[in-house]
Amino acid sequence: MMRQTFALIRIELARLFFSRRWMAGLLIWGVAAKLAADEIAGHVVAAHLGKWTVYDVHAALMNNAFLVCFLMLTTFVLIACDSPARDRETRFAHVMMVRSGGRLQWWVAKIVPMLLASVVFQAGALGACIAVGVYGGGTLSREPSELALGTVKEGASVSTQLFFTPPARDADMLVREVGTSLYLALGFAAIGMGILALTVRYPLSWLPGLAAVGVTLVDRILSWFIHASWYSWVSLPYRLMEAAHSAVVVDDPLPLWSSLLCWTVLLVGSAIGGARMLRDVDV
Amino acid sequence: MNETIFDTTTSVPERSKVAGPLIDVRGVGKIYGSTTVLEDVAMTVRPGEVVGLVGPNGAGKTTLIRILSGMSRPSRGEGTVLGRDITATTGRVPFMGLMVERPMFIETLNARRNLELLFSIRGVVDGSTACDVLERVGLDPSERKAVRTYSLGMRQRLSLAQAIGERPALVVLDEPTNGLDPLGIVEMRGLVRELADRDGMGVLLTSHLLAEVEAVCDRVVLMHGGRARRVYAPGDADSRSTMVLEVAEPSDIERAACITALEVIGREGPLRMRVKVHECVPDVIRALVGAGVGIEAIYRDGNGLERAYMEAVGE
Repeated sequence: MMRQTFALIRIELARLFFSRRWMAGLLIWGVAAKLAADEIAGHVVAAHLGKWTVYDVHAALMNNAFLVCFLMLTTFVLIACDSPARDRETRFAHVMMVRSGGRLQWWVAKIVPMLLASVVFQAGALGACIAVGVYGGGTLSREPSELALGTVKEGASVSTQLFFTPPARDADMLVREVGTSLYLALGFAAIGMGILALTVRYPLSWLPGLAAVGVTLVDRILSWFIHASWYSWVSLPYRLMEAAHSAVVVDDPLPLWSSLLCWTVLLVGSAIGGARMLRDVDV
Repeated sequence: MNETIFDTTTSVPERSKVAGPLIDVRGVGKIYGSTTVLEDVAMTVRPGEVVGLVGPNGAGKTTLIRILSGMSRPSRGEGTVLGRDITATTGRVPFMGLMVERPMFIETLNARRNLELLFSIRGVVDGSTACDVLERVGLDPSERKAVRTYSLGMRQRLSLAQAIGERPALVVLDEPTNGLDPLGIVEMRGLVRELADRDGMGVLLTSHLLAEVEAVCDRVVLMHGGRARRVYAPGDADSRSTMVLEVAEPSDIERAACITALEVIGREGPLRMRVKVHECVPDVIRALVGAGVGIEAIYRDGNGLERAYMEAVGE
């Protein structure tokens, strides 16, 4: 069974990573990084701050709810999460399943590429931020910039603004942003896993995209009406923001462990739940 | 009982070594909500046998194929496919060749690469098999074009190649002649017979082309309204004894009807009738000539399945 599972995973990896959909990823990374870079560059000038770094672009991007949730999460889901539903619609799933020997193998072969894609997607976003940052005038220095540290300069026309959690003065910004990317990858993977499980029950290829937009949209609407602090505990898009865990940036920060637990439970629960559902559904 | 999600205790799905029938199911039914789409279907497919499934759209053919291939569980019924219980909840899928309607592949790769990847999953054939089987279905193994540029006919051939390449004991072909040109249909017919006669595979196929089904199948299950209405065997004695007799004059019809060696079962115009012959054909011809019947032609009825189909669907 292991042999078939590995062979299936290899095929699904090839299908996913040689897909032209990654062109959309490239575009979105570029657009998101440019928007984030413009935002901090403008602020740096107005606040009379010193040079900003390419890592500031990434940190700012990762805490922009619109860019992360609407643009990046939706693009990731469209790239990596509709394959089970699409294969069942086209009945390619049948061709694969009769070879896999069992439904579990097929399911695992769908999960693994999605998990890898979440890491690759975040790596791509980090790469785009570095490229766009360099092109836009940012430095490659791994020391925290004045912008990152929330420095206040006299004579500035704007008050200080924290785009993300200020790092320690001796922090390595590259390491910090790699960590942030991995955190986002976990969050994206967990949400993607939930959507994959959803498509086991409802195998419609348009559903993942709609679900990704829906998660963010519904959260936005609910957040207008619900101002209680408990809502931040159940809001998945809010948990994606790194700054949501920082007492410096928000009044009522979420413990980081609670988010790690939330994503892990969602990821593992959806994987097991999807497997259980797949056992019973007509493919 | 503490049931596991999936049975993973069995290792690599081996090519079936089932001694008896490859497919042996009884009373199979499928209900979606309050709609019954399949009811009380029984079917047997043995090694070396080609069995057809025909019926109008919505007759339940595809549902039955899904159940037999392990993609769907029946609401009722029992039986085995390649020794696997069709009601099992283990999530295991039998090792068969499956050709689906409107086949999709890894669109950016060529045919050969697609087959190599698909065959790598089971790992039961070597690398040269992809080329061999592509040649066998009439595709060029050296073709470098991506599958996305293929016509429906080429996709059908490729789909057949992936189904038979690993030489499974059982092959299920859903509408294999879809999109094929006349030559392709003839080639497909020959290939299907070869799979059964030379390779000893059991073949279950569906098609709307009744003449093709009649030409290639040993038995045909006629389905309508989710039920198997009748099993027609093109080669059995009853089918073989039905002939068409064409005569020179209308009065010959009356003379022919008086001969005991045959029985008129239907008239088709003033000079043609369908008859069931009770003796060997030369004896029947001698009797007709002796009775003064002007024979223009006598031949085996090639539309037996069509008639059976019309009777089965009630038209």
